[in-house]
Amino acid sequence: MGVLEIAKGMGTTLGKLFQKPLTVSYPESPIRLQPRFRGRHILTKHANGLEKCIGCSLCAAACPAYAIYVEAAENTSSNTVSAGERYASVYEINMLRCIFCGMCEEACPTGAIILGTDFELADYKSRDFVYGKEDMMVGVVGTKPQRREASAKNKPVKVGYNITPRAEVAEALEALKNPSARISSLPASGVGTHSVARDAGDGAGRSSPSRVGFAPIAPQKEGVKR
Amino acid sequence: MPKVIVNDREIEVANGSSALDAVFHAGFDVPYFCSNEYLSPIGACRMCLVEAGSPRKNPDGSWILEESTGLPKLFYFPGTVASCTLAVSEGMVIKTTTDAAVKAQAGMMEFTLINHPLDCPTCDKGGACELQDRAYEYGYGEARFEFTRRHADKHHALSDFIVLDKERCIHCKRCVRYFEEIPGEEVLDFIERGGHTFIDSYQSEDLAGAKLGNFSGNINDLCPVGALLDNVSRFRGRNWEYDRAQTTDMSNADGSSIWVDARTGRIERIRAAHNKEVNEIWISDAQRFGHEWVDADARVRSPMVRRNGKLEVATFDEAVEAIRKANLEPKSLGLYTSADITLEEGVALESFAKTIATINVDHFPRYNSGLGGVSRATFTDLAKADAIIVIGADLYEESGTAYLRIEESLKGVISSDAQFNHGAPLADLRLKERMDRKRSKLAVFAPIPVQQMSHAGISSLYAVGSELELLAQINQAKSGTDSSNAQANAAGKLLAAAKNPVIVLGSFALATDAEKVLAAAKKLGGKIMPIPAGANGAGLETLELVPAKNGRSFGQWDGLKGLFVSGSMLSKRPKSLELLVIHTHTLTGAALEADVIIPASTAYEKRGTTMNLEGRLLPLTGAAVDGGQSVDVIGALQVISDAMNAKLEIRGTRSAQRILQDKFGLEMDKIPVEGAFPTKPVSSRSAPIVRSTTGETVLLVPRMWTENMLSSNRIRESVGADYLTVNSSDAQKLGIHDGFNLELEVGGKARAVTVRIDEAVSAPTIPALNTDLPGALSSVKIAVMVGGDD
Repeated sequence: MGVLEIAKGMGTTLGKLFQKPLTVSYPESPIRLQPRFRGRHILTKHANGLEKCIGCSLCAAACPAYAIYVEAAENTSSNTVSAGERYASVYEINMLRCIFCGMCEEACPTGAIILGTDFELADYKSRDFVYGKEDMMVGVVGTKPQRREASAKNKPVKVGYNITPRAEVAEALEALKNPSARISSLPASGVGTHSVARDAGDGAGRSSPSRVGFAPIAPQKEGVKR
Repeated sequence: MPKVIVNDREIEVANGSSALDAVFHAGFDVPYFCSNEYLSPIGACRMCLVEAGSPRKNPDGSWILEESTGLPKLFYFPGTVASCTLAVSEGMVIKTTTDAAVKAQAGMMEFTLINHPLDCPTCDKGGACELQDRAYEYGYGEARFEFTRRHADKHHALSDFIVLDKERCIHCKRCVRYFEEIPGEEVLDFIERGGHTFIDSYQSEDLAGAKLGNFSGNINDLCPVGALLDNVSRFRGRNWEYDRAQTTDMSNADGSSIWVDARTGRIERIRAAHNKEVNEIWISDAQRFGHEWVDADARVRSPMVRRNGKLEVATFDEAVEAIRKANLEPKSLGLYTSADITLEEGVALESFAKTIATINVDHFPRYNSGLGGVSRATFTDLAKADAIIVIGADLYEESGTAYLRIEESLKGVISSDAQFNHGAPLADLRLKERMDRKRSKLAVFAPIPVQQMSHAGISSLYAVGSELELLAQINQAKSGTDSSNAQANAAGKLLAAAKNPVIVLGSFALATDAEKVLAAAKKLGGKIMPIPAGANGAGLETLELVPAKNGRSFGQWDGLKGLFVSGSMLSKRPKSLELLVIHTHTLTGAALEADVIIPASTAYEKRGTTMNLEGRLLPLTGAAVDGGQSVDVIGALQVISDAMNAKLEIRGTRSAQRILQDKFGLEMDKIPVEGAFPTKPVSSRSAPIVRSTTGETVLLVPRMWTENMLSSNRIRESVGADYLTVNSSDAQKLGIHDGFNLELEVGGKARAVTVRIDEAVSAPTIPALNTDLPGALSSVKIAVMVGGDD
């Protein structure tokens, strides 16, 4: 090994001294998240303000960590919450159990639940990790401890990250900003369609009855069961 | 037995079997929606399509042979045929797996799904749906139709308890057939035609729950899709989320098997379980929908102790202390229980009474005689009987299972009869739509008009309290001497000609003097089905739970200083009492005046055994219900025994079962869900009952809905006001008119009723509550008269 090689190596090291550091001094400054990042869930709404969640509990069924608990109730003409017959009267996710795998998002027939970008969930009491509808509804900024701190200091929630959100999240946030915007990811099946939806002039899903239903499987050639 | 070839397997099936049954017997599967083992096969859904062919015979009786092979020639049906309505014949070949059959089934599935909304995520049937399963197994998996689906009313209330989703209905006609074939009340039918067809009841314009009858909820279980749904459990949970427990219903003495579906400690839904010898797959609406009280906010969930004149929530220790302070002598203590506790609890009470040597022990309601001394008919006996005499029973309200089994008997086809060698048939070709009912073999006698009279060949009303006279008349006619009562004569002749008669004795017949009525009924010959007053009345009478000589029966409070009552059958605190301990789940009646309240678990939460009206032992398995600190009778006795420093011999269900095992000769913890009969003869004990009536009397009629169930607003609204039904001459005597609202004092309890004039009743009648002995007369006083608004 010659002196030249040593000098080269030292040069690289010295060169880094004058570059902008990669280290982010989180939490003083925000970190950069990738668009695919999956954080605290968001419950989305239709453009007309109705919740997309129909309380079907399929997210709870899909959840490998048993983190979700749903109780459903029926929409009435005086209390129309979702675009369908039923809505989730209780929707809770235990963030201590959640593994942020995104299975709930995949199972959701209406695109009601998506994994958002908040990840600063650390809290003091275990019961505070159970997030209800009011903590996850689209438009709620920050996690429970962040919002608690913000309200105590009477300041806006300080979110410790920068992100270009992925399409689903962006769309949900966009719909909130611009209520008249037409949402493209309405349920494709007849799911969540009901007289309430029709009365509300939403027509969600009714217009596209095609390609619905079951996982595409070939008809069984052998009718033999048992 | 014809030999049939299904695909590649040759099997023998009974004559008259359907091809569908042959397919299942051979171990193959075809999809079906409209067929049901208790309903007539009608081929409505066209899902069970198969290819079938059979050999034919020449006019001389020889087989038509294939020229080339010399074997019988197979003549195939031109297309695929519905196997449920096809009877098998010798040499029939059934093919379920050929391309044609598979394509036909998948094609039919596609048609079924054309208009189905596919809103499985919001559907209460989702996850337990026959259509979902069959579409997954046999469908194409994808719709080729791009048209707009049919839209119809998605929330059409058929009754207060049943919601119809017209979009989801696939017109299998199970519900329509059910009402005609099982309870025999045609309340539903198809309306409109083709794609517009929907199910409705012609009465549903002015909706009231009772109009679909007492057995309407069974259509929820029958519906193969999510079209007919239980409104009580609507959206309460998904099918895979429930903690299911198969147990025995304790709201009447039928011993119906039920599934209790609980979620997060609440009972959300009750469904019928299959018990082919008892309730088959049917339960009454009270058994199905009457569970909201179990989780009501008003339920007592912790002990309560009276302090400074007020009942306050307390601990068990404080309850023990409160009882100890009263310092009662066992002799002046009475132990009373309702007749719907388990046998285990009963044994514990019996043993505790012996330990502390009190002779004041009783259960309520009961009759003045044990019912076990007769040759008891089972439900199967009832269904197979060639003559059925119902005396003094409104089975429609008292015993839904007996009612439905009698209806089954009139049809003459017992579905559970294993005529078919693979068990119960799925498509029983013996059953037909609108079968001819053999009404002539049913005689119904009651003091008031009852539902079953319209299905009986012989029916008549008798004067309240004249059961013995009626039985004597029937007996006379049986031996050939006619009396003046033509209907009794006809019943007597029916009995004389019958080989397997069954006599059903209900509350009206037994309430006054069961001992004499049973003796008179025995003389008629044949088996007897006496209906106990309590859910476990048949079981508790085998224990020493009636007062011994000089002991005080329920209602006889003289000389008693302390009272332990398990149940809500005491309406008022008896005077001169120093201590009243009530073991209950609801603060009603005397519980409001109690000194100590011990929270009681409901029958849905208990583990144990009960005996139904046939004498069949049936298991109770606790459902996952959150009853707070509630305890069963054994737990309540623990409190009493601690306070009295007495030793409790039976400290749990297990030790109680050891005693019962000797008594019944069965391993009590291993009784199968369908029940078992005791292998040892059991005695039944009896003691007189206290019934004193003065002045005006009213007849207490049994009602399917118990007082607990009626605490639910939904049920109360559906049932409507309690009626005092009187004929016009009685009305005149009492000075009341149709539509009057009255406040009555019935047997010491205040009741608000509306007057209804009905000429058919011979005495004023009023529905019985927990505190009443149904079928009995009770004294009545009119307290407040409000006047009518009709």
